[in-house]
Amino acid sequence: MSVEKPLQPLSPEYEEYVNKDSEALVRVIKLRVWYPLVRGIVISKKKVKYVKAVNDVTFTIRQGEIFSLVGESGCGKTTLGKAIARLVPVTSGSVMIYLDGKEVDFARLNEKEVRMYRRYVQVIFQDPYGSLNPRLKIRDIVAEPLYVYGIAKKKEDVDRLVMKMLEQVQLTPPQDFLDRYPHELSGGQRQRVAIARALILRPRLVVADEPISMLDVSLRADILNLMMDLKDQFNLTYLYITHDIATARYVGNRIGVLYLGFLVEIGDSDKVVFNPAHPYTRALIAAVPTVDLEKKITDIPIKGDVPPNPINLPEGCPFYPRCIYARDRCAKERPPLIKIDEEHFVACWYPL
Amino acid sequence: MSMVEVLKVTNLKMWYFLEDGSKVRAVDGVTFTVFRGKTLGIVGESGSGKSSLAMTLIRILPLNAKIVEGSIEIATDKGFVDIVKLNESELRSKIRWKYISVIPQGAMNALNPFMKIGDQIVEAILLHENISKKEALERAKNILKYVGIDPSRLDSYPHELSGGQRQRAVIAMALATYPRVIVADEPTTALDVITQAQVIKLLKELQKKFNFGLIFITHDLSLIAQIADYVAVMYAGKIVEYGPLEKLFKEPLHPYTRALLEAIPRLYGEKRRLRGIPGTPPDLRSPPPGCRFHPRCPYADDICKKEEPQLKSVGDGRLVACHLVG
Ligand SMILES: Nc1ncnc2c1ncn2[C@@H]1O[C@H](COP(=O)(O)OP(=O)(O)OP(=O)(O)O)[C@@H](O)[C@H]1O
Ligand SMILES: Nc1ncnc2c1ncn2[C@@H]1O[C@H](COP(=O)(O)OP(=O)(O)O)[C@@H](O)[C@H]1O
Ligand code: SF4
Ligand code: SF4
Ligand SMILES: [Mg+2]
Ligand SMILES: [Mg+2]
Repeated sequence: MSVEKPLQPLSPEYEEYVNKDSEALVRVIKLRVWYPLVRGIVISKKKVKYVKAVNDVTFTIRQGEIFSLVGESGCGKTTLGKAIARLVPVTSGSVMIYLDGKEVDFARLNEKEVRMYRRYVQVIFQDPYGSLNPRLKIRDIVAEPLYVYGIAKKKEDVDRLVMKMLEQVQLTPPQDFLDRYPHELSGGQRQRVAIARALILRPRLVVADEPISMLDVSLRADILNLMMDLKDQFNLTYLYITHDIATARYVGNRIGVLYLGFLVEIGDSDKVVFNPAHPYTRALIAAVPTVDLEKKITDIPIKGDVPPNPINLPEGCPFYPRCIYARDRCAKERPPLIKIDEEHFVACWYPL
Repeated sequence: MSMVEVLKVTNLKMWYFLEDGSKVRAVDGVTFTVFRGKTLGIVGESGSGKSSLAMTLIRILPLNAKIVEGSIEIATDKGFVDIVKLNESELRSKIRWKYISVIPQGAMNALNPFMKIGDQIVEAILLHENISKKEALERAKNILKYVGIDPSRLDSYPHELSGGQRQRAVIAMALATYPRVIVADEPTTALDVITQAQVIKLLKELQKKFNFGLIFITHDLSLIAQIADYVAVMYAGKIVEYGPLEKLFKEPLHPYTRALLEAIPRLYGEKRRLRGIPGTPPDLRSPPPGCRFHPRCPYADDICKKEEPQLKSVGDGRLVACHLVG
């Protein structure tokens, strides 16, 4: 695979936006995650095909912000989040995180260093049913990270920390929950346990991967509110992954739009929602159902209903095959992110 | 334009009887009407009895389920027929699919993986209508065109289709016998927003063309806003509020409906703190006495804990079951 040629060219203005960002906690640079498709015996390394899930993504996540990452199913959101937390191997690029006054490249940590640093980056997964070990009691699920990192060893210390944490995620009184199993809790309660487990080590960055999409509407607001409250209390920074652009804007300072593993638009969340500049962002917003009766979804400005194929990327603009504004240039040249406003960049030759 | 009734459901109760002697009152006294060419949206949290209601309407139920009361009257060429009173063979040969068909929740993922899409549609037609195989195949081709799948895909297997195309194929099956009523149970839940929007648009177009009454079931009020003409809000096996879409959304009357609407962020609205609904939906084996919403209701009063509020008219074609309203 050719690592030399960037999959998405960088414009000088975007490079500056990222490199000169003085508030950055995380600086993701040309991050690429390709999953090898290994079928049967691999005869020649050259012939291996890849699922090109994340393609040279560059952006920052600022200290104390909520960065919302949106895009349709399969566009690489989870993979990007997991790569930042070092839960999947990074193919190329870097993930610079500022910790204890120095910059650590998470993509280049060795196994020992991964164990040392991973506590600073925690993940809350989409599925509150699948992500908690069904055979462990809530006490042990929440306490496990403490043991792994040797933070507390004595039972009474562990119990004290766990109870305090359960209280902080509003599972009260905590004694009622310690000895229960995940299946004895409701979906919303399980997600609170997942949050407690993620926060007990006092991470700096929390990757929240669709934390509310499996919950009933009536519970979603509470979990989002809880996450916001804990952010202030624990001085957290979030990467909030969702396919729901309405909550992305509600909680997010900035929004990044991912398509086929490419970052196609990034900016202040109100700017992205009120003035989408990329044709894909526009389609995504047009398709979102909302309770506003004035905004009916009618014609989605997009071609076909065939999902994009991450194995064979289009040569030019990744959105070209479905774009209703495409022109000749789009088929041949891949657009870089260019500035269209303060805090607003788009990767399109003919922005809206 | 006068409204033509195609389905009238009255005081319908369907309970599951468990081995330990308890019963789950999944559908517990539901009344509504569906009109020709119009869409009734049924919205409720998970476990509120939506899927149970859908399958009760065509009486495809597990062995431990029983319709204990009520009627389901469907408009046929010979006037209204009560589905509850028919025996199974009459129901199968004369009513089910011919007049009313259901797209069950998760149907797009339950297609037979070893059978071509075309054959599955032809089979669905032949099972319910007395026509030749050749005619059925012709019909299948046409229906596929209507739902936006190229007829050349008749020979495709389900795994060769995208999620959106599989959902279209399932809609084609429900439509293939030109029923008067189609019940779609969460037809877009597994799809991403763009595909979902395309499926919603398709359902609306097909309804214009074929004039069927549609029952659209979802847990998502924002989808209701897109497709429904009338809305029924379901809570713990009961309808707690019913009314025309605009009125219900502009001025929700039942505290539960209000809370649901408050919990949803608006795309262009002011960024305010969202309000959730405290507590969880009740266990339908032992629902709370009185108003089933009372443990979660901020307005609950003494009477709410004792007396069950009845669904009553409050004018404007609206119905509400709450002691505070009406
Ligand atoms: N372990 C893996 N091996 C091979 N391919 C994978 C693996 N994990 C994900 N993929 C593929 O990578 C692409 C991106 O997947 P990813 O899960 O990151 O998407 P997503 O945006 O989170 O989608 P969703 O909204 O459905 O959660 C998809 O084509 C997916 O099938
Ligand atoms: N076969 C069954 N036997 C017993 N209880 C059931 C069965 N199917 C569903 N239920 C129960 O009936 C209630 C309503 O379920 P369901 O109709 O699936 O709700 P919804 O579709 O609104 O999520 C739930 O309490 C559920 O657990
Ligand atoms: S670059 Fe061309 S194809 Fe790509 S989004 Fe812009 S107009 Fe469409
Ligand atoms: S009847 Fe009482 S408890 Fe029920 S919704 Fe009305 S006010 Fe609330
Ligand atoms: Mg994902
Ligand atoms: Mg259901």
